[in-house]
Amino acid sequence: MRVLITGMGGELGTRVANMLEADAQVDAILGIDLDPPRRRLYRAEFHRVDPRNRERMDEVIRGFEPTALVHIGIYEPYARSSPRAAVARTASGTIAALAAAAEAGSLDRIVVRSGIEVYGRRRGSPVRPDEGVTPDPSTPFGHSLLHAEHVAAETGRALDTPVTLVRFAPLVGPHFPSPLGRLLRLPAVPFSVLADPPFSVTHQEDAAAALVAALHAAVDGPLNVCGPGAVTASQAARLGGRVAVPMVGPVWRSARLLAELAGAPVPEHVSELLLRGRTADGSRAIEVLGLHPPRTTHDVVRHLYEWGEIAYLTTERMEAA
Amino acid sequence: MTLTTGDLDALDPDRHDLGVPALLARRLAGSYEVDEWGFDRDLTVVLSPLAGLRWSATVDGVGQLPEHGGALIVHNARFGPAEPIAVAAALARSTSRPVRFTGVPDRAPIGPLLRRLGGVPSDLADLRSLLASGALVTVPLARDWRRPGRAGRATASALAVAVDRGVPIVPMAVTGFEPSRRRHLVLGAPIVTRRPLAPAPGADLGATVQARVQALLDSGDADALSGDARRGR
Repeated sequence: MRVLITGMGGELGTRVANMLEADAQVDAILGIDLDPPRRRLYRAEFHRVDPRNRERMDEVIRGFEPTALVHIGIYEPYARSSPRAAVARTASGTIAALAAAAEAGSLDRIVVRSGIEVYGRRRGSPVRPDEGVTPDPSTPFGHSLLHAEHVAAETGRALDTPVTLVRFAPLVGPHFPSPLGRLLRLPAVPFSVLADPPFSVTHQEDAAAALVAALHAAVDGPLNVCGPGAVTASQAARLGGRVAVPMVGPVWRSARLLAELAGAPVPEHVSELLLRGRTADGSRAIEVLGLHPPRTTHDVVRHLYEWGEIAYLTTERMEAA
Repeated sequence: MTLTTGDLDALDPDRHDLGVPALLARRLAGSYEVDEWGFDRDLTVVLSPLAGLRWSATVDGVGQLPEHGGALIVHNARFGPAEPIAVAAALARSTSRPVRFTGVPDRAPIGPLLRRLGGVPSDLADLRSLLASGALVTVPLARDWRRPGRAGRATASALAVAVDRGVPIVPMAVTGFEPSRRRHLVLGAPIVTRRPLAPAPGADLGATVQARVQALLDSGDADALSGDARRGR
């Protein structure tokens, strides 16, 4: 299997590359992204390419002739990109990667990193949608994910190739760049006093394992991957020893502004999560992909707060090192 | 017999201490559980005595409900906005299992508050997901305003979800209504939806469920207790 990984420079992309390097069924790995990988890779080849540079993407991917594509090049607003750049990079990168991989002529499976944001949380929409629910995104990130899913599905149909759409609950972790994770780690965490709805999250390791399992299973269709259980924002704040600050109505705008000043800008989909909640039924993925039950949402949130303090070395210890 | 002394939480990680100090400690630490629909078990434990003060309910036929796994409990609709909560609280007390009720509005603050107590919106995807997770879910029949004592039509789509999931459909008659304090719940024999005992394709399951609930309402027990409820005993 010759695997192309888009978004290899992110935490998730690098971890998937690590796992595939240890996989005997994988003959070659090629990664592309705007940023370099976050860990040392031994077998994988990496090309630093801006996903908006279609010519360069086309050239690199065609030369590799992938048989499998793991499309992780989905840019979440305020994770590594501004909201506008995130939409442009996701859309351009998806179209360029899928078109080039399809034209290379040997693609037999596609796996796409998506999110449960595609279901949206409009009033009257299901609280815990399963894969049978028609996506109806209500935020720019949800639309961006759904666009990537549509492009992948179209490509899969044209090539008669299975496309697995892996819809993750928000990914958070101590080293994972995520707007939700940054917000929850602030000293004071805002929550809606009128709703304080539950949301689920996914651990980065479980997400990587799910993508690798999906690559081998080559299942056609969507699969939700969520940490079982849920927490509310006020509960997460208490779990992390933070101050939970009740918010109502127009005060939200001030809270978002203050969070942005504190280094944790709140994009639309995170604001929606705090006001309307976000969960999904992830039981089918465990069954279909044969995954171990993922870490619970409680455990993932606890892990988020276990990020160790920076230990500054004294002069003597530096010399010893 | 040897009694084991030690930390019960360590021996059984699924055990939940429902004493007041443990409830308070979980609330302060944030370690209480809220499920994906928003159900907060600790909160229902705290509010359960209040429900006992407001409603006095008796339940007959609890053995008709499965000890494990999901079931769709279909009952006649009585007048009163708090009726679903009263019914769910009575069943939860009798079965020692959380009981979910449908029809919660998706609007803050009432929607999220009722979801804390076990409510869910009337969305078929949520019903499907709840039954798949092994929950007991109550669904009311339609209300027949012209004949208040009669069972109304069943929601065919909700029954179809139960058949699809292979969970039993349990008819239930409810007597007593707001503002009276007393309620009586009578559960009937479940309709098995697992093959080969599932109803034949094309059978009018809605009419069957409606007839079963009506039969329970017409039965002597229900009538007698309905009279008790009217007398406010």
